[in-house]
Amino acid sequence: MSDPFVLGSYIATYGLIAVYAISLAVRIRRAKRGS
Amino acid sequence: MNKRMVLPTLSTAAIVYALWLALDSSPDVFQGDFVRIMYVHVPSSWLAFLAFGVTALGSALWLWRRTIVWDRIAEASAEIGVVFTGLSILTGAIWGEPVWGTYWDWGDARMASTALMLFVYLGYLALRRATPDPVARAKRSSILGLIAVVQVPLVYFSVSFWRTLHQGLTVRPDGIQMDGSMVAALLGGLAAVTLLYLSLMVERVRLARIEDENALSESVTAGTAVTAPDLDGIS
Repeated sequence: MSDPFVLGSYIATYGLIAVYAISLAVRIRRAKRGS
Repeated sequence: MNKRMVLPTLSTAAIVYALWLALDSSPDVFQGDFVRIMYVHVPSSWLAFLAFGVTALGSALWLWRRTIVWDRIAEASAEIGVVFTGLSILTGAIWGEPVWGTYWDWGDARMASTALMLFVYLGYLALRRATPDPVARAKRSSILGLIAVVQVPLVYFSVSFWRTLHQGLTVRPDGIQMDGSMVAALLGGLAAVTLLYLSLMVERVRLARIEDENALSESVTAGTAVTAPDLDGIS
């Protein structure tokens, strides 16, 4: 796991999932405010 | 616990468990620790296939029943599918460099067909944004959603149709030739991302519903100053 390729793949995967989930929450909040 | 938090909590717990299974599994005889990248790459690919399959199903059901919820499901699933196709390409490239000696090869059937699938579904999302009328949008994107899904089996079987850089199918009719701990890590990853997909779908469909309600209330507020969207067929 300490290998930079393995570590990088896990950071990329869970990082991108977290960014998408957070952006979804922000979009829902903005849309609710707009209603 | 809040009912809305059940799925996100379950999917987070499943991801943590899948991560532990991936760390606890045996290294591969040939790839060493690089095989662990497969435990995020394969589930990402699976989720992309599942998501685009659901988009096609939602598209077919919208064309048949003309109920807006199917259009929302198709849209939500396509967006999540695009995210996971991107992840599949990214993790595949990271794995490719140490194992194959290259991040990317356009001559490889699996890589090229996956990239094409990503561009087509980005086009699907662009088409939706470019069509303001909700019925026209649902109709056009449903047709595209049904045509685009042809790529899913094409991408999956591309390694059998064309023998290029990518290895053949791991899951074959004669079984899986893998160590038990590797199978557990792979299945754990697949289960975790499937739960995550359900969790993201609930929220993404909710966003689509709120946006539709906002668009409807804006058209009502604007009165006759603008042309109201044609909502025939939307229930």
